[in-house]
Amino acid sequence: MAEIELFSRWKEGQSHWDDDEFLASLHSLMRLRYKRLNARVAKILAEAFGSLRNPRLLDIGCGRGDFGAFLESQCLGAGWTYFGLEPSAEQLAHRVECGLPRHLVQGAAERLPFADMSMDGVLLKEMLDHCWDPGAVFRECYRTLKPGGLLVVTLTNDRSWFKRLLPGVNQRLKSTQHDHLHFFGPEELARTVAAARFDTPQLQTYNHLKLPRFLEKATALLGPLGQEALLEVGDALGRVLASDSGGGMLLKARRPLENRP
Amino acid sequence: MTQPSPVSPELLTLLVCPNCGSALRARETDLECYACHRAYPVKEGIPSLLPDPPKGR
Repeated sequence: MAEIELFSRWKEGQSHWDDDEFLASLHSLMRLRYKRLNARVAKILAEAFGSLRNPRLLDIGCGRGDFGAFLESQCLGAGWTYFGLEPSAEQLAHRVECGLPRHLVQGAAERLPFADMSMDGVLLKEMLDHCWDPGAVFRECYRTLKPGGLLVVTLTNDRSWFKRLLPGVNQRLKSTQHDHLHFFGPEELARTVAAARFDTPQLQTYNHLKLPRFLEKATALLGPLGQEALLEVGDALGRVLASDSGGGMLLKARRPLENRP
Repeated sequence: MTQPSPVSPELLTLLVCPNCGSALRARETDLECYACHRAYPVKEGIPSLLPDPPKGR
């Protein structure tokens, strides 16, 4: 598809996105998965930023800035500055409260309006499939990161075991996701990141547990702790049986300390 | 008293033009690119730095 057409679909997609509607559509197990994802990402960033003085985090596709508020709710982010980039004026107008030092900017990931080597960490959380040019996004992340800076990407896995097992269901789902311009599996994702000159990307998948929707809803009977344990066991089994086949992908990569030809 | 910049000085030093990559200077209600002179509005402290659409091939 031509870049110009992808761009117009991108514009269309963001104007329809609604965080509230999205969160309200999730049942309790999905909500828990989302929270666990945020916690995983926060932990990675906290470990990476632990030794840095006043690190800067750029959250691309920040929506209403929910992740900044999540960091604060977990007592993380002290001394950090949170930069949120979001193309949708609508989302920015509904920004959430956040006690961290924060700057919000309206812009696009493919043409980041930030200076070279200005960020210690760049986060792409569940947004890459909405971008019109993912390769350009990673080149921009590379440019904007300081040498040694950390890139963290999370994304739905298009090659998860259940999507491969039920390709028809996956196709039906895709036909409803008009704002998804690309779909990635682990190999493609790692390849696209490496093509932007990042150091060997580390990728893992998670959310291996997947049940029919009515059963997923029924897990509410287990209570939050039971659901947590269920997801934990699912991931432990998944890591052993089919490590690249979980429902979600999490990738870490660093900009090398020295420029390479 | 007029406000000297619509965005904080810390943010301004980190921002660049999304179209040409040059530095920006603050005016009363917007940011202007030093090189290509495009103007970017600032609303409630949030600068709007969207790029031009890609050129069709």
